[in-house]
Amino acid sequence: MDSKNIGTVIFGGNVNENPSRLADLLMDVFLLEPDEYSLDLSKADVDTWDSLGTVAMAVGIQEEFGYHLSPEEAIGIESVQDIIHILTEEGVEFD
Amino acid sequence: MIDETPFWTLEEVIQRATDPVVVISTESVADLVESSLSFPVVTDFHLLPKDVTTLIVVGGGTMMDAAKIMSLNDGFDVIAIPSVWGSGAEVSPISVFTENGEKKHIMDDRLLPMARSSIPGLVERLSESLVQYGCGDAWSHAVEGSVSPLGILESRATGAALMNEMLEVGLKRDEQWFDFSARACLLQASTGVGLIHGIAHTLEPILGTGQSDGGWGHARLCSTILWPVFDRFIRDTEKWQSFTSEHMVDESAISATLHSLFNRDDYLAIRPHLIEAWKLILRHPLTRINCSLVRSGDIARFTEDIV
Repeated sequence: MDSKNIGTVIFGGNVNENPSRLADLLMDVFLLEPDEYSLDLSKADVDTWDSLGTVAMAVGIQEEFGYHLSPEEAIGIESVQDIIHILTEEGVEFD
Repeated sequence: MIDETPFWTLEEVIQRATDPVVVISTESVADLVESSLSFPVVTDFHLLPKDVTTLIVVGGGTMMDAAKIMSLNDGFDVIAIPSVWGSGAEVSPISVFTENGEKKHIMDDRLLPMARSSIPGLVERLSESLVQYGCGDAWSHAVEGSVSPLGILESRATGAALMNEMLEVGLKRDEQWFDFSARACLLQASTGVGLIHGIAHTLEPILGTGQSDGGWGHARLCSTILWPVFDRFIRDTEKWQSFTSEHMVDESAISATLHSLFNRDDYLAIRPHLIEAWKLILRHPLTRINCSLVRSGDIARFTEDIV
């Protein structure tokens, strides 16, 4: 896996695994190859980010990060950055 | 919940079906059908007359689906009498068909049969293996429909009540399974299914969909995959745990029932195909609405031994 691409962060001697956990998750959710994923990815870039993808994303985020997206939140997400923003608000660190 | 297809007694079918009425029946029960209904009976779609107003179809899911799809073009009413339980095609606005080696489906309210019915004695014609496969198919619908991420409190309660009744009757030749199967199908039609059906629909065109006991029909595939998927993808999830505790469902009795449906030889026969088709299975729409996220690395759960 390309850690530069997915944004694994090393700080204070600790590795923040959340960016790579999110990357692995979204690659499985949207059936992407590693070189197709980036932090700048948006819904418009991914043909599998359809209604089924949105359901799978909500299920996956709950399993991986323990946060239950409401249907409105899940439908409203337009990009990887939106997901990071929501999870950050819930206390998941990405920096 | 979707509209329910009304149940008519055989007397009601005879009185209410609009002429001209023709029956298409699976060959193995055609003699019983001829003695039970006073309408012309054919055993091949090519033998259907053109001026049919009501088609009574007596058969399994494949035959009912074919009749429903034909009705969209030809405009006749369909009365469905399942000869085996499992598919729930008699109550479903969905028809499944195979095109260019790919399993596809159509969803249209016009595919809902006008009525469903039953013929006494049909259940006695079922082989032991078809009884098992039918029960496995119905259990697959009930389990996946109950914990679907698209489900709501009402659908989960419906699934729980159904499972309790299914547990009470047990896996045996019993007329009540026609009703259980129809209700399980209605449940999954309103919520969705998951990985079991994603696998079955992917493998059916690969393995062939013979309807005899020796063929890999939909019901047999669902029965074969039910326990491995339940054991590795469902029963340890928070969703399943909260479903069984909130709705007072006997989890250990369900596990024992699903395990008793497991045929290891069948599983080992299809496993190489499952492994080879894993990427296709991951892409299947039904896999993508499984109760838990199915990930690329999860193929390891099938390569480990399952007992």
